[in-house]
Amino acid sequence: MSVRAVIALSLLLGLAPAYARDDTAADRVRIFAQLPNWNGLWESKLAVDSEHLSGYPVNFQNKSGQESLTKYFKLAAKPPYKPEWAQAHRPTARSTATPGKMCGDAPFPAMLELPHVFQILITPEETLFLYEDGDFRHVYTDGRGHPKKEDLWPTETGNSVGHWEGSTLVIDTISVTPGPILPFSFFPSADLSEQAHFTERVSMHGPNAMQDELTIDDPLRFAHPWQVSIEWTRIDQDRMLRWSCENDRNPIENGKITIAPPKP
Amino acid sequence: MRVANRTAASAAWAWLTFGVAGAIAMSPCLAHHSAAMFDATKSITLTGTVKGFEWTNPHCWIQILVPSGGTSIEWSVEMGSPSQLYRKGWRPGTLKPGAKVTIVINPAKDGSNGGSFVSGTDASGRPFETAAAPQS
Repeated sequence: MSVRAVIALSLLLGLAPAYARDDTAADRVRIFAQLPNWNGLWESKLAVDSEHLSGYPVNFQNKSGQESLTKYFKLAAKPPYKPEWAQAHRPTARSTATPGKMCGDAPFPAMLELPHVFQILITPEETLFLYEDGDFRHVYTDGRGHPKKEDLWPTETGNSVGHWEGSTLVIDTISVTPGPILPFSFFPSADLSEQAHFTERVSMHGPNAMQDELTIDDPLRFAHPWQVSIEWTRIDQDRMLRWSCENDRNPIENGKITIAPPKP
Repeated sequence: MRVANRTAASAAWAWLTFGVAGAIAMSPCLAHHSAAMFDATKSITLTGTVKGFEWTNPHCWIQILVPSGGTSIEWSVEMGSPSQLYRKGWRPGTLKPGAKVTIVINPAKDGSNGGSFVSGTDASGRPFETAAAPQS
């Protein structure tokens, strides 16, 4: 074998891939350097309003003892239903909530606003939202589109792809489990179809403030797209702390929340 | 599908106001459920001895023994999650069994011996948030 042939074979077997890896690594470094720094831990404004030892927003009830859910959740507002759909359907509560249990999952898009601490990990290929309850959300930014229709089925977080417009992350989400969006077992919320389409524009609005401009379009049920602006705040906490339903002492009995005694 | 009309105003009108009696919400938080089970228009002051302090999710709980007619009644006081309390300077060892405390609560509407934490002081009268802050 000639020297020239050995070199050619070496390139084919190893050197060429090595060059390719180096190029990819350089590209990743270059792309990563252009991405914003969203380090730290974040909470929704709703969560910040709950920063009290009770865990509830201060003054959560008015003088007559009523509380308004819309005071807490922008996503609890009434969406722009088509009149014909609204007349034929009454808003319903989420049926997937576990009977007798107060504690449960925070599906998309409710997870954007519910008071869970989360972290945002940015790479050139994807942005990952990690929540204190163990939930997560992958937003693929490597240029891919959504999977083919036959490869998709509804899930609680749907399928998300995104791209960067400067320092704004634009997210496109489809295939979210249809039904009421808030995880309330007794309370109605916006009832979405399987065709609901979510667009988000996430960007910083101050040193420790971020905004998620969410637009929900549901061609089967909405007269026009529904826009909700959700604010997030960077919080002062040194590490992610696990949240769970491990010691849920608020069972529902006879339709009312109760307090269970401590475990022996 | 592209969303074309980003300028359309959202229908942010309040349609969901729920009353004292009938409404129960489920949520992972607030801290993890609606506050409708507590009466925020009333306050009760409990003075007694800490029986236990549960540093648990989704809520921390103070079990307090309150003297009453020669015996004592145990109350369950609900607080936020460990994550929420941690950011306020609380730690798992902040309240120890046997500690003398005074705690103000919004009582449970069902009349049970429980409520939502409002404020508290230790035996020396120092507010909890100050007393519990970690030493720097």
